[in-house]
Amino acid sequence: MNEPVLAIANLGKYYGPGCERCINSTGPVAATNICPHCGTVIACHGVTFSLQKGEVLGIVGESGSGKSTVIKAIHFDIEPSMGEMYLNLTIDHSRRENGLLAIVNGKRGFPVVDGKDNIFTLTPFARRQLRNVCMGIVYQNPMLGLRMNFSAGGNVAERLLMDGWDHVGEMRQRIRSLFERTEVDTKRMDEPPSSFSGGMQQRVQIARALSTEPSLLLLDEVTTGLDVSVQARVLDLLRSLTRELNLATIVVSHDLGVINLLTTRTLVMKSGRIVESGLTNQVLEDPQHPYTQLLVSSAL
Amino acid sequence: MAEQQGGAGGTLSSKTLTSYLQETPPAGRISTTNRFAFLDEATKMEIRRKTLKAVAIPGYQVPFGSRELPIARGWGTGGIQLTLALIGPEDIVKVIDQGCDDSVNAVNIRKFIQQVCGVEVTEKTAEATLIQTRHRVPEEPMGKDQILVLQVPIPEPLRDVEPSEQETRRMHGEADYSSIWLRLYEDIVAYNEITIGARYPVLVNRRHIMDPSPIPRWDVPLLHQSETLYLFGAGREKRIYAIPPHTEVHPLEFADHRFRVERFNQGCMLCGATDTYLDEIVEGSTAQRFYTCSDTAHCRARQEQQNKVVAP
Repeated sequence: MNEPVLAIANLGKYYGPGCERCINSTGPVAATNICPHCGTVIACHGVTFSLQKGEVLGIVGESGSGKSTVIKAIHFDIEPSMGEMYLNLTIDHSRRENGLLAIVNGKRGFPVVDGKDNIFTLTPFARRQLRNVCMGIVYQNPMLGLRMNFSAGGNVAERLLMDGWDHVGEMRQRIRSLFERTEVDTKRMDEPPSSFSGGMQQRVQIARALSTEPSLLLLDEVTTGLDVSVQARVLDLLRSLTRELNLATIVVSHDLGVINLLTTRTLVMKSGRIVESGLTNQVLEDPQHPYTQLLVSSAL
Repeated sequence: MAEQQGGAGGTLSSKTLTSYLQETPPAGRISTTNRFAFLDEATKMEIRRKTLKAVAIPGYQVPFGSRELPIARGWGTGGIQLTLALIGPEDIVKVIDQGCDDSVNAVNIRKFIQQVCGVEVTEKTAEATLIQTRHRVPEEPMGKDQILVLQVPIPEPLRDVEPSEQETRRMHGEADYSSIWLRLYEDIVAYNEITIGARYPVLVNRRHIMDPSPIPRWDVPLLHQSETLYLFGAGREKRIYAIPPHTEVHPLEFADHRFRVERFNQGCMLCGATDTYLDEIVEGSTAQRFYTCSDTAHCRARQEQQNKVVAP
């Protein structure tokens, strides 16, 4: 079996002072993630999983179950309280060796990602480099992922610029082909995304996420808030992209339909813990945990 | 303050700065009598220390405790503090404002330095050992025994793209400069060229992006691998930064949209120079446009040279 691209071990994120009884008095059995003794919020605890190349993993759960916390920790948007993260990737440094910033952004300053070092212990600088080159994220709210006062093309260009592209013509060509792939009207690439519809903003986000050919794609509730026909088109696009590019993908959603359509394996989260995991069709058709059973019966 | 005024028998405004400085201070206060270069020694020491740090990390903005001066913040107090901390009795000072030696700002700063240091002043770039300037670098090439002090209004090159100081510091620390590159990209998309006239962002020593103060693009290439030490002082923003001699300074540019300096279609109407940065003058009645050298001392020297040649 191959080494996993991404491995997460014992990830935890707590907000508050913390006490000895925090962990035992929260979780799915206690049906809360707030410690009754000290008020600490256990956003997630003991989250462990790994991801192979080309695999699409779903994380499903209700609001406040900690699924977004997990994806934000992986994207270094928040600092986890505990846990380890390992990445095992081959990275092409050829482009970054030349630009003006080669000394700081080139291979020499780049962290080693051979799956041996805990990524969470790297410096913020190294993590930012890693994130830019290896990860793409699509947020539920386009305001988080896009700069609304710059053009849609500029939003994609920003990632390319971070990656050392220094030719405007080449960049625009790349942006155009990305927009063609994600079905954004290329005639509107110089307009700000604030003038776009919700579905189109999501597609700009997807183009931006894929621009540096990352190995890991993170989708945080991508279709929530879109109407059903647009949802279907965005999901269609994502499904074909993940297959075509052989990306390791994590899909966070509370929508079992999305999980069913996109993913091969699923984690079910409740009150900050993983309560069930397995192949998606297995989890959805034969749920073992009472919460999963509730979720499935209420959705279908 | 009231005691002081009463004791001296007059109001503060009626006295000259020198008499104010030489007056016997009230007991318990540090003496200002006969203090060379206005600032107290501790302040000078701090500024020198911060300057050394700035030289050690080219392009990095070093915070310093900017002191009150008898000039308002925003009128060159950063540059003045650097000048006063570095100046010695032997120094020869030149002060320029937008290339001009006799504008109000330059004259007053020069007078102030003369008053508190008693040093010699000059208008000739080659004679000066310490040059304080605003918005221009002298046309005449400078040597390794000279220091150019630039007054800086906004030291943060990322301020236009990121309003938060905490965030810009993080961006410098992590060399996260994509947003300023993005600004250039957007410029090219909208206007097919980079539209920054002054304050053109430069990458110093291939590490820090730096604001070269509002010098025109014309002066930016002079910063690259220069013989001279360039010091930048922002009094209001409390920052010092530096470009030491022989440092790489690259203006930000794209492979297909290169950085370029201003182009003028004519020469200076006074000295005929075509290789200098020119100011545009519009005559009121005829709306005719004339161009003259922005560096007045350099222009005058050239004119004198020409007159000599004409009349042997």
